[in-house]
Amino acid sequence: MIWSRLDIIFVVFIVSWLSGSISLIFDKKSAFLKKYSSIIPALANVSLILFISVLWTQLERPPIKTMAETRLWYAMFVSLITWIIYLRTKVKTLYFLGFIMSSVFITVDLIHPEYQSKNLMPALQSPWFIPHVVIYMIAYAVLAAACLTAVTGLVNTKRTGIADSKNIDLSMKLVYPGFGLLSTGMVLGAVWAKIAWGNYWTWDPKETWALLTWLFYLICIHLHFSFPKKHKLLLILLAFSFIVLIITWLGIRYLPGGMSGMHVYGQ
Amino acid sequence: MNKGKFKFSVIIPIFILITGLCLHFTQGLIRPEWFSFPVNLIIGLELFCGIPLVYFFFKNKKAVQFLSSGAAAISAISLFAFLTTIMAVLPQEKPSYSFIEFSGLNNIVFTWYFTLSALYILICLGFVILRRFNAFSLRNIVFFINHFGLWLVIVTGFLGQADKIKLNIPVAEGSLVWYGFDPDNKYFEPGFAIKLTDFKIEYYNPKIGVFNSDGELTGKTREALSEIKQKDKIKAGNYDVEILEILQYASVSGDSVYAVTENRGAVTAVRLKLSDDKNSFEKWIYTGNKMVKPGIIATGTENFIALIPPEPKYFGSDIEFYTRSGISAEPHNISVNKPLKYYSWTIYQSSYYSDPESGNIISVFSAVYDPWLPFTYAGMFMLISGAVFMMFTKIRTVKKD
Ligand code: HEM
Repeated sequence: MIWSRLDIIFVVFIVSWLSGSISLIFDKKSAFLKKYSSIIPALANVSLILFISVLWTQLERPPIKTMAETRLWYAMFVSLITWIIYLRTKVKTLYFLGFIMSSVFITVDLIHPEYQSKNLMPALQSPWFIPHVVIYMIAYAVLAAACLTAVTGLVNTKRTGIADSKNIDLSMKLVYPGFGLLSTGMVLGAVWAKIAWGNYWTWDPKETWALLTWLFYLICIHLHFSFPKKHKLLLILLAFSFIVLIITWLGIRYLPGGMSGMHVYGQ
Repeated sequence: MNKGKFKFSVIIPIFILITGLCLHFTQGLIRPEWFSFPVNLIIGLELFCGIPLVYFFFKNKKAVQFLSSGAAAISAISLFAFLTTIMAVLPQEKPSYSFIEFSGLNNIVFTWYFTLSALYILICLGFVILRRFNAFSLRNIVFFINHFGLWLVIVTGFLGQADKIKLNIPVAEGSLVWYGFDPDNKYFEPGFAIKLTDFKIEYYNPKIGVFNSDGELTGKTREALSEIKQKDKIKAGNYDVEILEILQYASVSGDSVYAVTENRGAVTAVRLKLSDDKNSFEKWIYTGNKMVKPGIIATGTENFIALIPPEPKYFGSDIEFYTRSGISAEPHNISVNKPLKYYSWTIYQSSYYSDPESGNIISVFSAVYDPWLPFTYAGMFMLISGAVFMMFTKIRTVKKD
């Protein structure tokens, strides 16, 4: 199984992003370093994409069932999205934060790989499975980038004492599509649940938390639209909403009653 | 934000919580049956016509202006999010500590305060939709799709609950069943019968586990639990183990194991070759059933190899429908993720089990009657279309002040 070779990907990923980050620090001095730091993340991402593709063929099913598998996609999308935003905005903090965030997820996978069954239970054998999970993963990655820019904005605001409107704008530019993806993922999940079980919504713990995440971002959008001057509140809320999102994705199993419901597979 | 608006956006949620709790303590939990047809239709129409009527007559009143404002939206969504947080943190529908149970906190979906909070959202949404009807622009259309879509989903999702019937219909192979049981185990006749002509099940290959004397899996889970194929090799204790043969359906008598075609009462068996430095031998292991104890191999004093029952890959039923007039429709196939429409019912393959007495396999269907579903789907469709627009919306940027 390719899982045992994740260490190679890990090294490629860390070395390319780290060298990119270091050259970013000195890029004023050299045009080469500037170019290097903008291009090198592509290598990291291609290696991750290759890994995921090989895993997919070896498993003979899309690798989106276990936590460890979704973390791979997440690391890939977070690094991809923060890299693209960096290329367009040249916000260096985002480059660093995106790198740290995605490498944390790869590292967790390296320490805790889940060698779980290849098998998909009949309910998961559905054309809705891939869009439901992949759209959620992209949404999570986009909203991670929004959180990182909000945190950057909070830090800047604290340092300069003036509201950092540039980062609010950037965060909200990410929250809008991120929220659109969340809504889409949720509706796809609901329709699938209806087809597989006859209920589109059962208030199982994962669904309740997904709704909560969605509501938090809904508040962000309306706060931004109706009270555009509440900069600090908005930035804090954006960061907090992402904590709710992370609990939805990774934290449910540690909550009372979290191991029940139809979103728990394996074991 | 002006002071008045801020005051309202705090007072209304508090008022809702207090009223909802009072109603809860006097009336108890809300029962969906209270809203069954035609009550739900009347409430739905009242909301659909009442909100616009109130809006057009009172749109210059402060209250209506507040309810259609951004402040009210945030207050309404926050209240709903607050109740959802409780739901997310406290396990629901389980008996709980007396205070939690007393105040409905383990059953929030059916409490008055939750329902009133949804109603608050519906009213705010209704008013703001009407307020934004003032001009015809792309932005307003997107706004309408998003907000009215959500309105439809909430209204029809809530009111539709009351008319929804979900039956569990267990059917043994060859028999014909006219009735089912709802989630409260009440008997119900849907007006047609299901005849199960054939039940099919396919399995993945089995898995092998190396267990210690306490019955826990040992070794790297990766090796211990992987699905096996012919010619696979694994390590167990001091032995190298090779998979020689896999029988999905086998029968065991004494020392001999042989393949059977009939899957009822069969076990899964695997022939292994074990070798250590000195010698090698072949042996069968198999899963157990009521008559046969699982066949395992001790691979040392401390551990043993056993077969983990295979997981189902597919299960489905061939069925026929009968009505009172006795006419049988043509045969249908039904399986997980492939439900079947039969007049106003949708039939799902939900599970199966083997009858503890006869050993026969019972296929369990769900029959669902959900007349409000098309409206909920319409709302969901609007939500998704709105979401697509949202991905490309030009957002308001912060102006320097
Ligand atoms: C699917 C859920 C929702 C989505 C996607 C959504 C989206 C939006 C968007 C994008 C805007 C900005 C409108 C524009 O660009 O012109 C907005 C405004 C607004 N929304 Fe929502 N919203 C949702 C739910 C709600 C709910 C539940 C409420 C009320 C309880 C609400 C009340 C409002 C209000 C009052 C405004 C301000 C409109 C104005 O002042 O013109 N929305 N919403």
